[in-house]
Amino acid sequence: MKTALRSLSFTRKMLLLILVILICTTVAFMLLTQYEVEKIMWNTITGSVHDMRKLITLYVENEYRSLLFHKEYALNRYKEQLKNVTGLVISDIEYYHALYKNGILSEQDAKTFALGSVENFRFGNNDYFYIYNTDLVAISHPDPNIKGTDMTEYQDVKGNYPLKMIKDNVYKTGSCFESFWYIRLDETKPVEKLSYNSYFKPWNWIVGTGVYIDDIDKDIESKREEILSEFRKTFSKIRIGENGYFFIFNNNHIVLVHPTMEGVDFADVDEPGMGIDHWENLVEAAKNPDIPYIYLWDKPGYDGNAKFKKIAYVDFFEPLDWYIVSAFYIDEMKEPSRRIFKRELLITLAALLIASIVTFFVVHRFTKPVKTLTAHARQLTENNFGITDSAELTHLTRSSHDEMGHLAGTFINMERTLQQYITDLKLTTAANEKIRSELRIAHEIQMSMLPQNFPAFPDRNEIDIYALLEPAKEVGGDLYDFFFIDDDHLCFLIGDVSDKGVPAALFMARSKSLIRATSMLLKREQSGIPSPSEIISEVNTELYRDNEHCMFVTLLLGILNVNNGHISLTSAGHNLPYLLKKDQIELVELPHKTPLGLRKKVEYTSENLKLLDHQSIFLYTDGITEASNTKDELFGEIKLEKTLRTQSNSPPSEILKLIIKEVHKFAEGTAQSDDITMLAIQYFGNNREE
Amino acid sequence: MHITTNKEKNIRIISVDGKIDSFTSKDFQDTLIKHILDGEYSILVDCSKLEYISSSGIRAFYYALRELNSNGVITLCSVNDDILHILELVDFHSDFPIFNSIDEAIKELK
Repeated sequence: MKTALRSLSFTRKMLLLILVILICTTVAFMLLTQYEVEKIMWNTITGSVHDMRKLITLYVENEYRSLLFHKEYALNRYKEQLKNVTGLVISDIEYYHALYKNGILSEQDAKTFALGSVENFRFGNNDYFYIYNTDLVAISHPDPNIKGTDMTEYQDVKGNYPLKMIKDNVYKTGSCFESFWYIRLDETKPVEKLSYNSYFKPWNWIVGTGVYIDDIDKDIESKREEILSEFRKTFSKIRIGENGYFFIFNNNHIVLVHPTMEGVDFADVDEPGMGIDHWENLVEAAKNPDIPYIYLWDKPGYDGNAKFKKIAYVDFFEPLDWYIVSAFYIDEMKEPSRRIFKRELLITLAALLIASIVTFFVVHRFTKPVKTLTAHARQLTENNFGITDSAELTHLTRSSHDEMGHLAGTFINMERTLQQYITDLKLTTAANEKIRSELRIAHEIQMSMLPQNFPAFPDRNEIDIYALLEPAKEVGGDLYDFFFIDDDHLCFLIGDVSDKGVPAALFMARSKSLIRATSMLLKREQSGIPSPSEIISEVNTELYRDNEHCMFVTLLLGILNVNNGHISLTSAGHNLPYLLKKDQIELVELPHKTPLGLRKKVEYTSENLKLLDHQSIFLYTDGITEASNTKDELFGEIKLEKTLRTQSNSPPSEILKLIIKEVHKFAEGTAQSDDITMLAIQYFGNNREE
Repeated sequence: MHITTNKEKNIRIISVDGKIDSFTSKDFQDTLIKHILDGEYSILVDCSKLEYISSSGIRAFYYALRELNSNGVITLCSVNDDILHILELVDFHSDFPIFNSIDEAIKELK
């Protein structure tokens, strides 16, 4: 992911950045809006639900009051009727009593007529009158089972003693209303009966009648049905949200009002996912009418799994034992905010699209110079930093006066510098290459001229010879050589050409060849062994000729007679050799003479010395004594002599290898500035120890 | 290497400060040649500040000497012992007289 992001182009990165910012802002804004809208919607809807609940409660209360009023009114009407009818009956009895008082009838007859009149009296819905005496014996009653019976201990179905109560009351006030539960004629179910009783004092009669209150209740019930149907009509029109509604059920869990479940016994309805019955939960919720009760329920039109969250507020209307439930779906409360969210989303997407397009063009415009520069840079590398078409860049420096323009200008300058640098570099490289190849040639010439196979004379017991040349990086032009002039005479030499590189190598090669040739020539001319000074003089003359550049070679040339150890030595400006005797060394003093090639004629002289058995002669070039270390100190003759002294009896190869090791140790890695060359011969005479 | 020149009577004095080695010998040689071509015939190389001379330095002297073609003299003075040792080895003084000091050289050369 990270790598993928890195590899995106600048344009894409900018685009991505801007889009990310836009999207983040929009999402945050939308979430906030939705949250706010939802909150407002929720408050609005719960507020309106609250208001509706209040209205409904008021409405129910009103209806209930009118019901109460209606009941009261009906009761009063009955009471009035009872009073009136009872008044009629009493006046009838009074009539017979008056007949007795006036002596028209005997008291017994008067009572009999009165009783007969009352007994046959019927009104309303087959209603009748009864008469009890003070002992509460029914002296008149349509029911033959009661007539003549002492009803003092009569209990109604509710356990009251209604006749005792009547008796007490009529004694006190003369007349009274009294309710009791009674079984109607031709019926078995007890019904409430309202009785009106009057005390007819002259005969100590309690005269009364009753009406069954269920008449009133039936009336009330029909009125209540009327109200309910009114509710149903009204409630069916009220919606909370899209599908929320009100419903009512009573304390017998019968649903009274409901859009779909009217008349259902709630006891048979389970609440999905909850332990106890739905209605019990609702009854429980009614204890806190302002705390919403949340549950899962079906929605009209969605059958089966009840997966909709629903909220219910339950109000208990005690007088009627009604539970009025306001129930609505939570998702519908969120619906408006969802609609707003969708619309917002559409607008945002459109805005994003437009923003992307605009950004793309703007960024493209901004980054075009960068692309031009990049393309140019690529062209530059593809052309191997050759000449490129910089017209576009030049145009850029003129058209844009901002950072891009400056950058383009800088780029053009850089390109020119770079091209110049590369041209220079090519020339330098070519020059270096030339030098390197020259050095290689010089090195090859130098090394090819030197005898390098050791032991050089395996069949010669008289001597052991070893030589070593370690070339410097720049090739100094040192040389060494050894060869037998005849069977007994070994010619050996060491030299150092004044210059370096190819010219020095050529001069060295020429010197070496001249020495060999001159030796042989002189031997033949003189029919004897020439002296080193004779050879050197000849060679000098030869080298001086055509030596325009005044090159020269210092040379040490010796001829050893292997039979007796006699050496004759000549130096032409070269470092003096050492004689290695047992446990001591000796510098061989030779006259200082001009090196070869500088003067037309030089008188060289030879010195003679003699090597005893096991003694050695050691020749070297100044590459050893002038080897320097990091502190710019020179190896010098003193160190050389010290090393030689410890090795005076060693074989030549060991001496030379040890010295070169010492020099390297001393130099501590400092580059070698000159060739290092050594040559040593150990003489055994005829006593070589094998 | 740094070279300064001045003239004392008929003597062109060339003072060398530093080393005459394979890197600097060409400059030194060119200086000598320039004065010879200018017609100088007595050249004194003041070696009081010369630290080292390599074989290419020696070659420069001989080159100049040949350019002079026996019509003059190149001399040295105030050569330190190390350098003198090298110069003696190649029998330098038989072609280039060496004086102990600049005063001695001037006195001898006038």
